Amino acid sequence: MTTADVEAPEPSVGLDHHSAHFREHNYEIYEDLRARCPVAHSTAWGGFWALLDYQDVYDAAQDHELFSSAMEKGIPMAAPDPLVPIDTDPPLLQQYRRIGLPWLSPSSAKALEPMFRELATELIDEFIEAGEADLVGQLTTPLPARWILRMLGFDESRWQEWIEWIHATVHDRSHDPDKAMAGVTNIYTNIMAEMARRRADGYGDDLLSAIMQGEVDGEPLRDEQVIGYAFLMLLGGMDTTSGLTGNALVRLVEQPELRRRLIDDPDVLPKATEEFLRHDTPSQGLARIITRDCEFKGHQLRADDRVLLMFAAANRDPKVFTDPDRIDFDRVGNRHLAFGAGVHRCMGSNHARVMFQVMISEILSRLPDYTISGEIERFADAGDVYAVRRLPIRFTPGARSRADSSANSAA
Amino acid sequence: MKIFVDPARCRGHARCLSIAPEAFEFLDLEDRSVAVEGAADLVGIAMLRAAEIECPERAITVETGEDQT
Repeated sequence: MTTADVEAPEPSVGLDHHSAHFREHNYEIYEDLRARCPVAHSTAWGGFWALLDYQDVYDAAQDHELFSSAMEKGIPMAAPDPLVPIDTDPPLLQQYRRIGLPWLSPSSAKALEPMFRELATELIDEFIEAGEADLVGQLTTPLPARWILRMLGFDESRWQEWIEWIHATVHDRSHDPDKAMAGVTNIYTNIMAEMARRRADGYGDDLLSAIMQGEVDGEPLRDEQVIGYAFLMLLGGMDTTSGLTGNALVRLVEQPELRRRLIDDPDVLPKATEEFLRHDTPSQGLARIITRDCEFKGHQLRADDRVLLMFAAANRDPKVFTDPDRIDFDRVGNRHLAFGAGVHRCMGSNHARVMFQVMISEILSRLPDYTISGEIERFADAGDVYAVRRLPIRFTPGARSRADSSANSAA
Repeated sequence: MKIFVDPARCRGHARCLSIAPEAFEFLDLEDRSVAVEGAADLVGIAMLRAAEIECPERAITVETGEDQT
């Protein structure tokens, strides 16, 4: 490539990841762009680059000095203060992460498995006798939401309010910024009330207390950093795991042989989890902001240019994944980027996997013949999280598992 | 046979722990896996190769010392 090519103005590809068209055609759009310009430039949202190919996304994720995570990367920006640690860069990033890591480690996820199963049992008990349900609204949404609220030490019975605010923040920010901002305000107000409660009554054995007592460079986090950290835990906890599970539950209806395989061979669930993460990635992409003028893969990037790392597109790159649009539980070398790569690897990945596996296995054991009985409603904006909002199902009714919940409903 | 997890590359995806839990240990605060001393012989080459090939950060190398591939 000559210098003239590099300096030529980039034609806009018209990509708008927050549009209805994107939601309905995201994977077709990725393949079209991959063929024409895997490093694509769009004029939407003030202008940004999008990386589609696996190697490009991977390289950008590794080069955190050039591809910064400062909050100005947002397309558009999400919250008034940086979310911690996702909007920070090394070397502070690792110190921020260290505060939450013990709560999110592989062993802590494993230790919580019985709790997730109990929660799943309780939630399924609520609809198992009816033979119909909204599987997303009644199981995949409340389970992760109640877990993250419990871990933060918040009142988990208020999960529906929190979900509404979080969904507004994520899914309404591009087309209804006032609604999104109202959600952000409610989240701020309620996190601040929880902080005040701990300052008055003392710290407890909960994640918010740990964040409030955490230190970076020997200093406690400022209040807005504590809020940003708790906010991020809520965002990550409440939306993406439900997204993955809802997406997979739709596939198990579309492709009954996958469901048959999971029922006949439950040991394949861990590999199936990775394959659903690859094929039905909930977090389609995350943004970065360029720190200095540079050339990247033959394109001239300027300081302050924003770049979307399209994990979902990378996960369907035929140069890396054979027959990428096929769901293959036996796939070998599934180095998908659903949780990102590099220093910002998703902190909740361990818990996401365990919750997903618990929900799928409980569904397949208690309502193995579920079918979709109405319209699958997706969130209007799939640009950040591609997810089902409502999944109406029908199935052969079954019995409750827990005597105590029967007693409660009879009383 | 030797397994090596490159601390400069590992980002704590923990895929190796799910594939060969006996062969890897996780350092929570450092957010990374390490190979368990001597566990290579317990787990077998196939599982270790699987951990190597599924690692998203290409942090794991398995050296057999002889040509077993």
